[in-house]
Amino acid sequence: MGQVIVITSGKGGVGKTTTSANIGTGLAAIGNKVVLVDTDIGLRNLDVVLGLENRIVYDLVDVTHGNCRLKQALIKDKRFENLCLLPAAQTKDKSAVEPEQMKELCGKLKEEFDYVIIDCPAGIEMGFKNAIAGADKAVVVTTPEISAVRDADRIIGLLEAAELRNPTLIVNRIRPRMVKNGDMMDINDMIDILAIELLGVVPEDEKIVISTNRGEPAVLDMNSWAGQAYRNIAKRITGENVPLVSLEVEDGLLGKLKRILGFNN
Amino acid sequence: MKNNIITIKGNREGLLIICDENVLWDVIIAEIKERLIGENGHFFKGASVIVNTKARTLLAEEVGELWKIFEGSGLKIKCIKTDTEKELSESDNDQQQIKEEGLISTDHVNNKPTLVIERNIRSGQNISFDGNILIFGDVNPGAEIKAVGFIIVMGRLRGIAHAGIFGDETAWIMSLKLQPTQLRIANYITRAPDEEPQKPEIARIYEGGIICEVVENVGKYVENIGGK
Repeated sequence: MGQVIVITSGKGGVGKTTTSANIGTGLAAIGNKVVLVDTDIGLRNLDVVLGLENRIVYDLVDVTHGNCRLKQALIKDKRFENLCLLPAAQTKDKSAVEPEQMKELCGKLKEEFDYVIIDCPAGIEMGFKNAIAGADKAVVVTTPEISAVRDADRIIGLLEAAELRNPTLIVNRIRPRMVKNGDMMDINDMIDILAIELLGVVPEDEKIVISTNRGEPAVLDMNSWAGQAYRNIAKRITGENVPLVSLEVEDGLLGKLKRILGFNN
Repeated sequence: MKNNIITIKGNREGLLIICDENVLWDVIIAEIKERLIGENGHFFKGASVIVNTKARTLLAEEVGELWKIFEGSGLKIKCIKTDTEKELSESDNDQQQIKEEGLISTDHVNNKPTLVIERNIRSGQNISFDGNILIFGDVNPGAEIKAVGFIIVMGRLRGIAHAGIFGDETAWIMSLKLQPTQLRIANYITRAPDEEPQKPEIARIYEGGIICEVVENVGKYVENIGGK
């Protein structure tokens, strides 16, 4: 029996979909059977990020309405045999699915897969309620901005109310240099407010933009900082104990030289 | 029994008085007077009492009235409970219930029951209580705490706190780290000072405004602490 993990944040644009795609791909790359479920009905993106847009025939709403069998709607990833995507519908809205139906769907999926990763839409309405209905665990994504942290706090409260205890935190798009100069919230400030366990820290990385546009998750790019962070997060989810990547920035010529030569990671 | 206006039960901790929610408050007061202070009154003398008003929420004056009756007859109110607590503590739109709540007696401070919460209050969560509130945890920005009496936060207070919501100007707010978005006491509103507090602070009304000062002598605000 696998486990269902919902990736959520409250605020939009903090990287839920990118995180879902990378964690899913990362877990599949180390040999797990993974299915990614996009619950952002009407604004689906996960298929694009994975580069699977042109293979969609059936979607989540077709499955819950019984228009097709679950197997028919699952799209196999082009890179990994053991990774599947259940895409969201683009022409319906969030009310097309009920929390009860999601619960049933998640129950079926976790019988077949090791990990069911659910990409939650932004907001706290119907879409959020659907996404968390069948989840066993929650991962909250935030960026080092006060607004994102505020929304994350709200989401943690709602998750607790829905009996999803002890969510874990991913801090996305952190810029070590800005943190060092005191221009950006640091990890401790965020942990202090949110008071939950840290699952990982993903640095800001231009390669994410490139990989997203190409439909190739950055987790597979061995030269990407963010990819490394996602690989570590995937390992932590499987229970492996991986220390946090040091985000120390070395200044001056020596530091630059070290970075160029690849010593800094 | 001739009626069920009030039901009196005894247990180890004292008397439990359950009031029917569908009867007028005046009738209940009359009934309590008759049963507890009338001819059998001496029977209950010295007992401590928990009053359960079921779905009825009491106004501050009604609590006072009840208090006077019991005090006058040699009884001690331990706390007043309402079954609407759930409703009171519910967050406005997401039906979030606070389950870990408990009530304690703080009758050496004031005559109101105290709600004890042992967790963090997060953004969007809303706690209001017909009495005092004591929180072991943080109150995060975006959260709102409202009490008829005082508020103590054994942690950081970064949300909005309103003490003395029915206009009690002697109400106060205390926190280990008083950094609220806004402080309200009775009808006064203020923002928190910009500098980060280094010590536990208490906010109270002084000469027409809210002032915050380091907690040095809580006894100044709380008369007869531990005196009884």
